[in-house]
Amino acid sequence: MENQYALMAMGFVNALSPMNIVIMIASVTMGIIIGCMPGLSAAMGVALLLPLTFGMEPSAGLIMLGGIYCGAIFGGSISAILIHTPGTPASAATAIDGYAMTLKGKAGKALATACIASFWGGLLSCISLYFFAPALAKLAMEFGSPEYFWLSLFGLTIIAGINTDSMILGLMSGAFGLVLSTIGMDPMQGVERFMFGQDSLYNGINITCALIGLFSMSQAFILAEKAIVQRAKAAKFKDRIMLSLQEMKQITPTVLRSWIIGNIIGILPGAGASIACFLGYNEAKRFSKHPEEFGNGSIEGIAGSEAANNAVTGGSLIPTLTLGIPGESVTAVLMGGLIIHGLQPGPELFTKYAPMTYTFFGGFVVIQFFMLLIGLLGCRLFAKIARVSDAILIPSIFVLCVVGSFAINNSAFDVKVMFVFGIIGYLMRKCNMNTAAVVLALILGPLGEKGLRRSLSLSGGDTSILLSTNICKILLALCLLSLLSPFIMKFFKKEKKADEAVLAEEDKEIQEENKK
Amino acid sequence: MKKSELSVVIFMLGFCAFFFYETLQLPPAAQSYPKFVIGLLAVLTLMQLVKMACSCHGHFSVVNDLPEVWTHFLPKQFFTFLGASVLFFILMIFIGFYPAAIIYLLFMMHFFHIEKKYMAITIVVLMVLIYVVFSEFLAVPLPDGLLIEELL
Repeated sequence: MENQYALMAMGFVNALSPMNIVIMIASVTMGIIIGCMPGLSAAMGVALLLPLTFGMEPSAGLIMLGGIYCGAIFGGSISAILIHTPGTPASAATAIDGYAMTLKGKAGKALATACIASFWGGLLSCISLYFFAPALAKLAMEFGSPEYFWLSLFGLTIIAGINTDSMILGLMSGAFGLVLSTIGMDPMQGVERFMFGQDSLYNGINITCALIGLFSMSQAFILAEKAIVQRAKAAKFKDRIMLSLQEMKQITPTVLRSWIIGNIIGILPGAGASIACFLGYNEAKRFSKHPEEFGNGSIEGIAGSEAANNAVTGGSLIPTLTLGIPGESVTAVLMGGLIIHGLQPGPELFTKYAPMTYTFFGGFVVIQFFMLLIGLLGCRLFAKIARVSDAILIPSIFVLCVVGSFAINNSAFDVKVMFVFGIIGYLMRKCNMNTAAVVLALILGPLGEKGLRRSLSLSGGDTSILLSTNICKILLALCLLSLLSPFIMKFFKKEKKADEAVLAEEDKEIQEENKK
Repeated sequence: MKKSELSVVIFMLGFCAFFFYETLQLPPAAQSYPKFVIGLLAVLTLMQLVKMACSCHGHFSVVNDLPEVWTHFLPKQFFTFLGASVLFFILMIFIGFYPAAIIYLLFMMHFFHIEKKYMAITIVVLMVLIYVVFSEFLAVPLPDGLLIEELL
């Protein structure tokens, strides 16, 4: 335990180096910009900016990705509040009361609430990151080859089963990714598999190319297929972006509740910030002394949603870093970043690479303070950026995708791979398939294959080795349970849909008012 | 049965068949794992087909839902973007990254009717950003272009 405190202290000292501070400021700013632009998601932003971390120390690279992640989740609230269009799905619930406050001329207060609640949600989520992650990593130390096989299967079933409307389509996406993950050299036999004469595929499909293609390039295609819509002007506001002490006290219980909700949702693989924000909002309404204010501009509503979605960030890093099971698509991209830097999620991150991991944790805490500062000071400027037209974004995203994928190996072949994955991602999204499951399969596929084949080779082909330990049995049970998870998620989604209906109704009312 | 779902099933079965055929070309010891994952995908695809058939309640007709899937699709805009992006990639190999990117951005933003002032700002900001981050900070040798290299 003492050793852990020493590592924590050292992590903070390292995180506060001048270079890391510059990285944090830049990444949080970039994250907020990406988040506040409707149409761009946090996963897309992290994937697009992943190549920037290539020249950095692993800890600095991770801090950068963490900064973009947190910034983007908060940034979504700016456009939700000022133009009634959530920048990211994670801020959908914020739009309900945020825009109502803007119409009443209290946009500054709404933005301050979003910023302060996001700060506390993110900061408190670090507590669980510090205390649960090492404990879970200790458990992962017991894992051998059969356990890793089941673990990768568990990761795939849970994300594939939850994130789409059809579980079979989700699982098909995962299996499709698994087939693609077999491209390259056979890890046991040393034979070329499905390389079609391309030496560049020797090490398999480059994960960064696939990430940029599936998340960023496909987003450019999605934006390019629709008519370019002129975005509504952000409402001008004159009130201060700050809360009074009384208002701070008013939102405190809501923030604490939403932190717990967001954190649990974050730790559960497969759920994400978009579900957490609605749950946080609902609970805030249920416990509020003034539930009648919800929908008409309640700061508790904004705090409930924003604290919950930011609390997901720290929570979702726990299964990602300790077991290699990302909680949502952003953390799947983040895990890709980890692997690019030569690090494998698991117990080694807390033993051999502990200084690096704790520097990242320290950085993650400091990022929340920068998010608060930059958020409060820069809201007016970000509101203007949120209006940037898709017509500018589409070609800009493509140029950044090209340069980012080229930078991986200085190879034009990687650009082609990125482009192909962009088209695959676009078509998958059109067919309601799950792109995050493909990424996860590309990451977990080789791990699972090694686990399975090593286990079978150790046992001389006896498959009973796959259920030889209690951990294997538990993981198998979790796999089966995860196949039932869509039914559990239906319950959460029902609540989310009810709130979305409220949002749609409000939209109609506002449009009618505007027509008048 | 929706046409879009049927298309996915047909594509996936074709994908499985192609990879299965390729697997047979591998040495026997290297065939087992690819066969396992291809089999998994094939089984899931067939399950999807059964699910689709069950939802028909005995009336096996294909409903064309493609107009619904492609409701807001603007072919001219989309294929211009796609074509210009492919051309940008080819141009990059011949005249280098920076000139190709500037031509591409100019063309695309002109196509989208962006004001000249914003076009200029976007190109300058993006090029400076890429130069500072990729060429200077990461020292990535972005393509100079075959024609430029020959001239030099």
